[in-house]
Amino acid sequence: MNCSSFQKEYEGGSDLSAGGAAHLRNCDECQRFVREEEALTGLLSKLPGIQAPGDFQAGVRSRIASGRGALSPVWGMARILLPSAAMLLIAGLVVVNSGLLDSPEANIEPVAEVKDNISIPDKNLETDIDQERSPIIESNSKEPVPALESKAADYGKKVEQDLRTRQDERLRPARKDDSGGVQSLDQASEAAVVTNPPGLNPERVIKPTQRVPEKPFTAKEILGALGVDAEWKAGKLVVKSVAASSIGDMSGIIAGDQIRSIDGRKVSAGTMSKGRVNGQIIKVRREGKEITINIRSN
Amino acid sequence: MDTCLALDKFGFPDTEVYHAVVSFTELSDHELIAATREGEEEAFGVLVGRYRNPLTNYLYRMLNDYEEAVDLAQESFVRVYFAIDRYHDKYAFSTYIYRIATNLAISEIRKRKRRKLYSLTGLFQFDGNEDKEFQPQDEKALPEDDTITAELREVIEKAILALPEKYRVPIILREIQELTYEEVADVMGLGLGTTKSRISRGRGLLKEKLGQYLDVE
Repeated sequence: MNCSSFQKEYEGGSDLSAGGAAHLRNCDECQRFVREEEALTGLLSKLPGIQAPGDFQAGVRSRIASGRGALSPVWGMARILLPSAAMLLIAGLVVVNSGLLDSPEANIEPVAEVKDNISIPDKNLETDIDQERSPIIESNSKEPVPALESKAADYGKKVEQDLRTRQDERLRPARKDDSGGVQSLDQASEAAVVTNPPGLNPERVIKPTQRVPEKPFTAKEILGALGVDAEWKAGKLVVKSVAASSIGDMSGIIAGDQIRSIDGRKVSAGTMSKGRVNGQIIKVRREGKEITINIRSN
Repeated sequence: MDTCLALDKFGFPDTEVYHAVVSFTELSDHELIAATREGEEEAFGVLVGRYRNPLTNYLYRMLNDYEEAVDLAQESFVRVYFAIDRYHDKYAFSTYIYRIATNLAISEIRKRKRRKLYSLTGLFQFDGNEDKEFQPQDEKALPEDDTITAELREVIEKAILALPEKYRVPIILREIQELTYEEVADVMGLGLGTTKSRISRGRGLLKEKLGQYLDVE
């Protein structure tokens, strides 16, 4: 048996074969291997067992109870529909408040009821037109009509001009601009780009904001913020002094206290998790007793 | 014992409750699952009591975060409870719950990697980057015995956490939770040979990292 076979057999966990045992007796390298393996096993066995907290069972029950509620078909349906309804409501409010309904597109209307089959009126239209042949004049006009025939003549001219303009392009919906004129959608969109506020300018490059990583603090720094000056002595964080009238002083921390944990996190020379450690509950050892101190902010 | 506290409306020990609970503690895992299916909530409670500490320990060794370990251990039991009708007694219950816990732990580890979340404990900083070079601390005389233990514990924990997932899971299951090779293979859904190979490789990596603490001379 060679060393590789022996080590494989040894790692298998079962008792050594006669060949394996014989190899081990005569092989220094494998004897060292076995000693290392045993030392590693011994080292790993030194890790303490971590216990579940006393309220573990209650936590499981609570989660199961809340999970049961979620399993109810009515609640399950409501859980889907309620957020959807809320989203629709919010979207509706955003649309109304943003004035999208007042956008140029919303004012689009067919150009004076011009149809595809309309023909260019004759030159003598303005003389032939009468009230019966142009009912639209009256319906589209918001102003009083002092002289119907005169309006009809103006309308005829306008229609003729419009239709001639459109002979070179597709007949498309148009909108009335602020001055009462008519623009195509292309013109309107160009105008919109030009008149966009800077925040809405599509050509403007918006650089992504870069988050500054949060810096974790050491236990000493956290205590320092409370007015407590502590120093490491033989692996223990001991309070050297407490500033008078500081938060630490008002909370009852005194010189000589050994800081054991901050917000449930055992103190160490390294940094402590910011966000999880706010310095609200500090456990200290004082005269051989564990004392929990609730930090008073006022 | 909790069961002795079950009292009837007159304040006397309720023998019916007493016997019921005592009998639950004597049931096997599969029998407890069957009783839970039939609506015996206490049976599930006994099951939780049986595995809460091993599971919390396992998850703590995987994540090095006590709160997260407790949270995921509780979540594991909740998942078992709601999938209890689908539970099959083909495997040991321990294998089943360890597998759920392993999946949750790996999911959490990957989530942390994505978020580059820093997980800190009172002893040291673990950034979830398993490829990070491990630097054992200088061996030096320390003033007190309990500090030596804490120091050594830190080094061992750090070495385990530095292992890649595929080695960390079987190493913790085998070396700390003391599962058999077959059970580890079942939890990981791997063949026995692959499992043994990973444990062997994991132990090799640990020996490299902890070499100076292995006194073999």
